[in-house]
Amino acid sequence: MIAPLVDAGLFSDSASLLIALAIGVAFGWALERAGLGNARKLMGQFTLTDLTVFKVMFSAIVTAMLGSFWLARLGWLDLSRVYVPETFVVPQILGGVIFGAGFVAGGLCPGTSCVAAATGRLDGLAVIAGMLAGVTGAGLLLPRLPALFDATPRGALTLPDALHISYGAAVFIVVVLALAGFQAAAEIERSRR
Amino acid sequence: MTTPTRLALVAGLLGGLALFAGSPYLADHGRINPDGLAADIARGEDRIDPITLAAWIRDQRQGLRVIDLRSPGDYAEFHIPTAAVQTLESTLAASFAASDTIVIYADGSAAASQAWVLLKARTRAAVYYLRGGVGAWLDEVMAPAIASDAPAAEREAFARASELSRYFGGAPRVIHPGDPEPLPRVSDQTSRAEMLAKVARMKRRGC
Repeated sequence: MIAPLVDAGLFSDSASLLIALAIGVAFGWALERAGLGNARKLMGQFTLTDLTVFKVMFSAIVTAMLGSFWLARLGWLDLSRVYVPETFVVPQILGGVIFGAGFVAGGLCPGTSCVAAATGRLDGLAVIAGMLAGVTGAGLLLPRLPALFDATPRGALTLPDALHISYGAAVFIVVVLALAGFQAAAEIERSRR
Repeated sequence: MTTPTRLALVAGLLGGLALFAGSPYLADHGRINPDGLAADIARGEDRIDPITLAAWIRDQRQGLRVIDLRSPGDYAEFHIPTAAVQTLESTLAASFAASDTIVIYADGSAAASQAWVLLKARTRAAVYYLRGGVGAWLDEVMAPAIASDAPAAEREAFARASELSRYFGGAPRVIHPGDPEPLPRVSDQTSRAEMLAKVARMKRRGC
């Protein structure tokens, strides 16, 4: 049997939603345990006094990347069936700028705002409200601005395809960057104490 | 040694070994995922209909490659615009980018659906076969027809199909009571001779 297991009929689409909910709750618990439900801690990222966000997120990226690469290489995961969102360069840069401005203004991102709200923080609720308003607004604008939303399509682009290197080389480069980043983050935090 | 250091060493080791591990994709090792293929077939994600393909060609969908698996003679007689004629062997040996979208077609669905399975074992590109083959293209894109008293939803779909049909030089028809019978529809049971006869009649008609 090869993952994704939903293809093998191991569980239904509704069951997969329940599993996704359980994974989401576990992710939220991990974020809260890392202290990322606190906007002040997240703001440390921008003032270079607390780089926990960088370390937690990059650890998650490296873990998922190494896990999916080796599971696929051992034949336990069909990587071609793992959904890769399509890249649209200009609209995603624009969205990234708006997202970044909201992150700096609110001190929380979508995941951490849910964690903050779940632990009773009002700023978390405010960021969730803003996020839902933004998503609704973008959804309403979508059919009116096809030239913007469909601009500069690049398909389901991955690092190996974009850089014309092997998958293994991309994995190696990301791991080296992560380890160098963790070391640099530790040095920066030490110098700021 | 601290836990973070141990984890960093494990990550470094797995990352370093990845350099020499080869491709993680099953298709790059000639392997297939039977459950995945079955899921694609059950969801209808192994095939596309002629109207969707027509829209992709008109909109110049990025990375679209349309491949005609019929004989060069049949291809010369009639083929879908932008299609290239190739044998199954040369198609399986060809190199496709992962971002490509490959649409294969033959006379009907049977040969193309078999080729779809083989191609899925060779490439990471998105692969589809044209449902109904070139006959369905003739029926639904080149000569779509609808009865004048068809339900509103069908008329709406016909309007969209008509727009595409005219783009490709087709002749959409609304059939009123008493009009002459439209050209017979092509199906998987239609013989090659009947198919060529339909192409010839359409050419005479000027579409």
